[in-house]
Amino acid sequence: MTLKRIFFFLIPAAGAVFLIGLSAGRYYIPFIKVLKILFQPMLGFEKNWLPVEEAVVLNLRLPRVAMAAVSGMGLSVCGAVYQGIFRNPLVSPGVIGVTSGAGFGATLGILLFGWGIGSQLFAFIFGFAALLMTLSITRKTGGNAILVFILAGVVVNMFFQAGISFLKIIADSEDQLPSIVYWLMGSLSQTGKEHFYFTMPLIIISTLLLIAARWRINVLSLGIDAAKSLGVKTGESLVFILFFSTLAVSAVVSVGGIVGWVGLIVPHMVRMVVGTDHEKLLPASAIAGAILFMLIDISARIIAPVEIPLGVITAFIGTPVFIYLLVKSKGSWVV
Amino acid sequence: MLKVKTSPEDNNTAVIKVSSLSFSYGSGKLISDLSLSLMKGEILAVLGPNGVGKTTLLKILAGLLKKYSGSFKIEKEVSYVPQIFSTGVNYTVYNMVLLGRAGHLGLFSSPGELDREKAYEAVKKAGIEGLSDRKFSEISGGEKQLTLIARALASGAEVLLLDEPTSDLDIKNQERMLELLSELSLKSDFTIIFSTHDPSHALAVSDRSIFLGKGGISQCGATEEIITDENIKKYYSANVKVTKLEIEGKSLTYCLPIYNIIKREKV
Repeated sequence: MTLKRIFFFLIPAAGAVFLIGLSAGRYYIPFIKVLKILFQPMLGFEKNWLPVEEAVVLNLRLPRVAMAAVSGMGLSVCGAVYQGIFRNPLVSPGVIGVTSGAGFGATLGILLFGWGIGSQLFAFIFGFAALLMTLSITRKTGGNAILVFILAGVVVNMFFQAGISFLKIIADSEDQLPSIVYWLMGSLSQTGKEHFYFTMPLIIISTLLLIAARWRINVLSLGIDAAKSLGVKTGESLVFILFFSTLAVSAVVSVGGIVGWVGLIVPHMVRMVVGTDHEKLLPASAIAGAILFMLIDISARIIAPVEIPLGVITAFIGTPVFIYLLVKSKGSWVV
Repeated sequence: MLKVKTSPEDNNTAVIKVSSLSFSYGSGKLISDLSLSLMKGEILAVLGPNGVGKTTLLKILAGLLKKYSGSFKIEKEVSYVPQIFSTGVNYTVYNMVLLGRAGHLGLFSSPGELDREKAYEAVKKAGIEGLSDRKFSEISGGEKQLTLIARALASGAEVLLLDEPTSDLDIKNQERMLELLSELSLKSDFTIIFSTHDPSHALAVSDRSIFLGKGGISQCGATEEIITDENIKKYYSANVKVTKLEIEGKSLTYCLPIYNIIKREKV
């Protein structure tokens, strides 16, 4: 399937889900009204809606749905990129420990400076540290690199999860703890307009840079030695890719918490349709990931009277999908 | 197939010049004080039993291993073709060849018209046009090897370093590979170094050969002079007869193994 055909299906779908995201929720607002509220500044519709409806759409839901789309885009592209450059179909930002590291860093940052850029910076630093830990454990071991890499990720994940538990203990149980616990399980309820100015552009730019390097990722997916012998500066490419992927993932985590599975399964599902070529895989994963994440966030808002954590929903969806993919591959992934 | 070229040991037009190269692995010496030079368009075969450093030598020349002593100089652009590897990715044969252009493209560039043309030329040169749209994982070992060579050709390299290009191939594909190597050297002046387990392959296409042995010993020279019964005995501890055969009007040299096998008497 050509990229144009894929976009022909995916982009309208993304637009539709975006509108559903703005209209659905405890306080239902019809599509037409949502569209009118959105385009009022440009087209000057007569304001025949309540101020509260406008506030819900523009101040509450718009940032949240946009953040969901951007998060899904970032996690899915990073997952596809990791699977490509590490030549390992089992990895994702969650599996190799980046999200846990970023979660730990963000929690630490929140305790020290409160929510904001400080916690985002810490998320990035510890996300990157987690990545380096997983990589260096793998490097020091020979044998089946695919499995060792996963095991190293498991260990690093456990380490940072323990760190997060420790921080929860010392957090103020009246004031800080509830919001931290809720956020860590995955929630976009804290998303606000302020995220339009820094966090979202950061994720979008990082993801677009990764997508721009998509052919280089094809080259790296042959293996470092092969890429080197083709005359590619592999060190520089890897540093660039790992830097911006960690930047995107840690920014997602610092706002939306730890949402696993998206980065693992979206690339696989997209690959079944478009194939392994990253020229198509990365752009298609970006949009598919955005759609999936928006759908998950909508479900979180409407399934139950209380908001369900995103991490819970992605695990419920991700586990069976992953088992299906694993069984379908007949175990060929790990040998 | 065989072409005769004089190649003086010390020549200013040498494309590859290796001077007292040594490489140690752990405590053992793998390569010790190795020197050789190769002129444009020449083929060098690297021979020796398993584990003596054939792949290591190629990887050093390809710039993939750094911890060697001594020096080497390669005047032209080099491309290294590893032994066939299993790969998680599954690109088409044409896209695989196109990846050979990587060295000419920046971090953010995708291949353009010129790159596509060069890749197509390389596909044609390697004789695999018919496979262009097939998946790399679905073609045979010989076809994979040809694809990897096409990828090296697409890179614009003029020096090819091939790690056992004929291993794992059936007889027909071995023949095809050897013909391709000699064609690349004769018609397009590629300088080629390849490692092989079969001295007959070296005799068929290479101008010069080098034996690598245990403990870092090595010996380099014109193929016909160096591939002898004695040297095979010395480096492989194997009994062979290197012999010239007149077949269909062509004079071909082979290295024939002498098996010491007692056969059951026929009843």
